[in-house]
Amino acid sequence: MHLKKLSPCTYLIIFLILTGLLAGCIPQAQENDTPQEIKPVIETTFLMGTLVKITIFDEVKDKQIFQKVFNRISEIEDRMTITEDNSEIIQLNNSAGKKYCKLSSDTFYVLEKGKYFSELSKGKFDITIGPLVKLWKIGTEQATLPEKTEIASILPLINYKNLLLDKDSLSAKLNTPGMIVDLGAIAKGYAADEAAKILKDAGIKHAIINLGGNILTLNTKPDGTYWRLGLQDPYEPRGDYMGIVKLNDQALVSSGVYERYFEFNGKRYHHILNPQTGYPEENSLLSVSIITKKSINADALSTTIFLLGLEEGMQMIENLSGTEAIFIASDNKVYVSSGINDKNFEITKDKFQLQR
Amino acid sequence: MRFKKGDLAIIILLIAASISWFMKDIIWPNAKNKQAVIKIDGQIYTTLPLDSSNERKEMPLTLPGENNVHSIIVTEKDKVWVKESSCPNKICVKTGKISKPSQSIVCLPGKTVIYIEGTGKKDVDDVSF
Repeated sequence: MHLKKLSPCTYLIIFLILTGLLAGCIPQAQENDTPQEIKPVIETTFLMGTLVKITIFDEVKDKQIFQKVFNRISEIEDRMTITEDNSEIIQLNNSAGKKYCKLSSDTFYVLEKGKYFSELSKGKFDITIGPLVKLWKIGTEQATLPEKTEIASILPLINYKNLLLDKDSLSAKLNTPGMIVDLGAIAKGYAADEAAKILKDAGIKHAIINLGGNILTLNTKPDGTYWRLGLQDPYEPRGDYMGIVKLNDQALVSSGVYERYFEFNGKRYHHILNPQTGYPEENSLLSVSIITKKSINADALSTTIFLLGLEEGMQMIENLSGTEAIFIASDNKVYVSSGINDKNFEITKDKFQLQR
Repeated sequence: MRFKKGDLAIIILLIAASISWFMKDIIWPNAKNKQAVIKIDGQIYTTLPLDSSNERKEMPLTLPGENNVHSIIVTEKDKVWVKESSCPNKICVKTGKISKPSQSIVCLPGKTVIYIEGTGKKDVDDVSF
C-alpha cells in the first residue's frame, strides 16, 4: 500500500469518525466544570456519642463556623448527658423524690418536648425510661439479657406523669426516688436544630447537618433543587441506602432495629425499648423515618412512631401537620404517609416494595 | 471514487480506535479513582486505593483516644473492612466489608471513620441512619 492521497470518500469517513469522537468527549468536559457544582466544605467530629458531620455548600467566610457549631453541640451534650458527672440531667435524676432542680433553658425545653411526646403517645414513648435503659446497657460491652424480675421491679419507676415541670422557674422534679430521665431519643434532634441556628445566623443558606445519621437540611441545594437523602437499608452497612428522599429545609430522622443491638443465645435485642413491656419493641418494623421541619420533633417522633407500630403510628402521623413518615417492615414492604409520593421519594432497591 | 486497500486499513483503524475509547470505561471501570479514606479525629490520616486488581493488604493501626484501640484494616480488590479491633463493641468489625461511595465504617472509641470516595456524581447528598 502506498500512502498517496486518500480518496475523498475516505476523508469524509475519517472526518465523521473524528467528529463522533469529539462529540463523545464534550459532554464529559462540560460535566467536569459545570458552575453549579460548588465543592462543599465538610468537617467532622465525634460528639454526643456519635459522628457529627457538617457540610456547607456556600462560600465559608467565617473559618471558625465549624468550631462554633461543635462547641454548641458539646455544650448541649454536657448539659443533657446521662454519662458524665456534672450534667443537669444527672443532677435532676439524683434529686428524684427529693426536690426541684433549676435547669438551663436548653434542658428545660428538651424535657418539655420529651414530656409532650410522652403524653401524645400515652406513655408508649416515655422520657423517664432511664432505669430500663440502664438495666439493658445496650450499646455497651456489658449488654446482656436482664432477668424478668429485674425488669418487673423497674417498670413502676417509668411514668412521665411523675416528671413535674415548672415553667416559671425553669425547674423540674422527679416525684419518685429511683426515677431516671433519659434524653437519648431527643437530645440529638435538639442539637441539630441549634447547629442550624448558628449556621443561619452566620448567613449560611445551603448546608446539611448530619448528627449520627440524623439529617437536617438548610433550604435547598445552591442551584435550587431539593437535597437528595439516602434512606438506610436496614440489612446493609451504614451509608448503604434503599431509597432516596428529597428534602427542602427539612429534617429526616430514622429509628431502626439495625442501629444498636446485641446478640444473646442466637437472638438479637435492639435498643428501642418498650417502656410498658420492658423489652425491645417487637412489631415487625425494621425502621421508621420521619420528615418534618424541626429536627427535635423528627428525633422524638422516630422513636415514638416506631413504638406505636404501623397502624397507630401512621394514624398519628396523618394527624400531625407538616409531618410525613416512611415505614420499612420486616417483610420488606414499605408504607408511606399521604404526603409522600414519587416526587419526593423513590425506592432504589427492588427487594423493597412500596405499598399504596 | 474507489476505495483502495490503504483507505480501508485507515478506516478500520479509526473505527477500532473509537470503539476502544468508548469501551475503556467498561473494561477499566474507575481504575484509579476509588479509594478508602481513613479519618481520625476529624483529620484525614491516609487513603487506600481500591482497585479491582488490588492484592490483599493488611494495615495495622493504633487509634488515638484513652482507649488505645488497635485495629487491623484490610483492603482487597475494591473492598475495605476492619478485620480485628481491640475496641469493646467491635461495631467496626461487625459492619463488614464496604465498597460503595456512601458506605462508611465508624469506630467511636477510636474516633475514626473509614469511608469510600470515588469519582462520578454521587446520587445522594448524604444518608440518614
